[in-house]
Amino acid sequence: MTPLTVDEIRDLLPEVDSVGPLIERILASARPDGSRKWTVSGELETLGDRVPALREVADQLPELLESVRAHLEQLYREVLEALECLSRDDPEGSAQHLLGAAQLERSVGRLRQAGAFTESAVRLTARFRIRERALPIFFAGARIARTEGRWREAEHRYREAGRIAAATEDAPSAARAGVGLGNLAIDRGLWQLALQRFQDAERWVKAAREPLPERWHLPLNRSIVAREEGRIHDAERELERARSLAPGGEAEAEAILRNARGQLLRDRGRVEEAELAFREALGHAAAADAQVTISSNLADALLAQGRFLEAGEVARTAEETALSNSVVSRLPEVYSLLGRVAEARGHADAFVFFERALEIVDARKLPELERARILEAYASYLLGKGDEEAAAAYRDRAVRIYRTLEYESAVQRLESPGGEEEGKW
Amino acid sequence: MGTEDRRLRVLINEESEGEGPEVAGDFQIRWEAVRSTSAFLEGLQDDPPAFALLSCGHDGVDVPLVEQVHEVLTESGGAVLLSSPRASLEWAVLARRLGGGALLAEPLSQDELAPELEGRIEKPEGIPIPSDAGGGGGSRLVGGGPQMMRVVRAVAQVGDSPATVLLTGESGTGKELVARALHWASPRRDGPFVAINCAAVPEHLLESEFFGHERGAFTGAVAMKRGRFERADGGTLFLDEVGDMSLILQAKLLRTLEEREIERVGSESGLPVDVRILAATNRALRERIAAGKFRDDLYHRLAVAEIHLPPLRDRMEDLEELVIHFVSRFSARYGRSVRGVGLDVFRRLRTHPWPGNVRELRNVLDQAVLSCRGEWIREGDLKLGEDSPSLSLHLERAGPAGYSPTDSLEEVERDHINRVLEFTGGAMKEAAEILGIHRNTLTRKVRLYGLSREENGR
Repeated sequence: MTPLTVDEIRDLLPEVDSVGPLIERILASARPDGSRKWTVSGELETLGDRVPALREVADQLPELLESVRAHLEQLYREVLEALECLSRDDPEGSAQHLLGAAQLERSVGRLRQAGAFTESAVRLTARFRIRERALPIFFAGARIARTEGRWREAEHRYREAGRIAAATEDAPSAARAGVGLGNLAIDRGLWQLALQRFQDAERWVKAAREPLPERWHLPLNRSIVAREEGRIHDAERELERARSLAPGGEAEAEAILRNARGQLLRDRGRVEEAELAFREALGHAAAADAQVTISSNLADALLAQGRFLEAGEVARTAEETALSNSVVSRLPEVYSLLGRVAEARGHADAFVFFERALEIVDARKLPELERARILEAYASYLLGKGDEEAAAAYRDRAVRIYRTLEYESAVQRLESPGGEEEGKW
Repeated sequence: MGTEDRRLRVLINEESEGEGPEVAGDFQIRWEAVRSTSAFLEGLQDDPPAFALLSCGHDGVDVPLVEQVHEVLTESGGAVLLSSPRASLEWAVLARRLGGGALLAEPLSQDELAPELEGRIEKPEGIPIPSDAGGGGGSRLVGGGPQMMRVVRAVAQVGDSPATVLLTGESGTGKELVARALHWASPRRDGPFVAINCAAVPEHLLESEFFGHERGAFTGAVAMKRGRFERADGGTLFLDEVGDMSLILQAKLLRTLEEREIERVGSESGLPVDVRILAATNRALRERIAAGKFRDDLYHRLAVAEIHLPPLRDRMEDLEELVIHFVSRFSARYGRSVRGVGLDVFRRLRTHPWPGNVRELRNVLDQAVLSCRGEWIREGDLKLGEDSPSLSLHLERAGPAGYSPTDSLEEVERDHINRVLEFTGGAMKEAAEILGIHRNTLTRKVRLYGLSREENGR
């Protein structure tokens, strides 16, 4: 009997929310087909071709149902508490519980639902004029909107948070809002604006009585801006400063700093040293999404050295991490990378990875920003294959999305003459 | 012989200069002076030099340190040299024990150093990489054994005909390489060679990949697209893993082969195409036909001529040539100066079942070249996967080939026929089929080589 692939299961099952957690678990159990290991198609295997371990999922059913029950119970309790608070004329408590519901949904990757709960909390604070006490709500809303690429909304939330924090002289929150605004500017490639925002935040960091984490976040972010602007020495100096201010021995900080070092070295063409930095970063990264990002960077550094086989292996590890930890949302970036590896290895069918990445963006309703990035990479691939018409069509679609999102530097990059041949591609 | 560039790392005292003669015999010496014992040891692991020189007069140098350095350097194919400002029987004995060299007198002289370097560099038993190996890029059929020669002959026979060819064989045996060779041997060699993997491309994309689509034919069809058939016009279209195609697409492919015309998805008019089809499969198509999963008529269309690619375990006589080819290629790609491959490597490679065939061998050697810290690939540089149980079973039945490059063709043929007969339990008809020769020819060869059919079971 031929085992069912993820594609076949997806074709069979309707899109019903109530089986969402089960589908997540089925995807997480999907393994490469051992019989295809050495075939060319095995090398091009994506999530859709994988074979889920259905028996394994069936065995895990009691545990899965228990986790679903526990999640729903917590969620329902938060909603009930929110309503009870409101009936007791405690809108602040109600907003906090709605925020709790948002965080619960976010913890299982349901960003849209999380955004909806946050929005309800925000409306509540406006209706009852308690915005001064709604800082955590604004930060949570901003974070979700940023993840989804809704930058205007994220900016609005951070601005509100910053305004409230400044009015109450809450230096840590003001610094946090400033860094958030700066990060948004980085996301959109507005480098000078980012530096201004970081400057504002710096003033609050200095005004704070206690040492804030933004002390080292700020130089780290300024290092990113300097790197993007090609000011390598400034980037190195800022990164060193971040390192000197970061809490020693904290694994997450180490992973972030070493990853940033790797990117800096990668941009300078020192790919072997970059590889080492990424490997060290990986050694410190605990969270699955951080592992996926750093592995992707490592694979990219190996690709730049012409070590295609290893690049493919590392990218496959990233895919495995994304799948087994139910962070399928990170698969498009991994598949985009695998597409580049396959192209470098001369596979005529490397386009499969880009197609799959786009399918996942659709199926998982991922942010449009993700789609634009895939389209950009796909266009570059098509151009390399000599398919200029399709490349132009994909590039135009990417530009349209970037423009909607006001990602100015990306629009400029793609619209500049010969932009598609520059380093960003 | 030209001058060889060698690094000699020397452990020196704070006050000394740590330099010696720059040329000794055929060696151009680059001196690397290290002042602390710990840094010296650390550096050996990370970046082993060809030679390490330790002076018995140095405060930190004792017998355990020398032995430790010797052990590390031996792994990377390097050697440890000992020098002394004065004669010492104990150190002279140690120098002799570590590699047969002399205790060098300080200050070092060119005349004394040259024979030591010549004699002490480890030249492991193995096969050196010839300077012209690895040529022909990645598209050359490598191997001169009888199995591969049979393939080469078949390519020559059907290459220049317009016949559709079905390439069969396990994964990684080089079916695409043979398809390219067929294309190059054909009058279509100046036309395009277009490949598509029917199992890799998702079902819903395959039709558009084959035949192309018009703009707006479906969601995502943002531009008109020429399919693989159209792109292969005037050349060759290679359909890899054709056995995995759905029955619906098989019907469309069959119609295209018969009518020599395609229709882009979303178009109502046909386009004539002039394409030679080569197909490959790692599946037993006859079994799939029997199971109703592959069309009989399509099979006969595709298998006008059939070439079977042998698995690597059955052409071990080509192993040496393949290894040298890949090591040379990857050594050049990664800018490494690998000079040869140790016999221990070949011994290990011969015992592996190679479920992934030449593709697996290529990957193993790619990694080995990257892992290799010295100038010779050694067994420790190999990263071989777990043996596949089913293939181990197959290997047990077939037995390792283990041909030596010094064996004559006659010896190889005799041995191979014997192995195939063992595999078939003495069944002559089955053996003749596997060997690709007529049963009468096999009977003649069995008689000629004095092979007993009874010995082989039946």
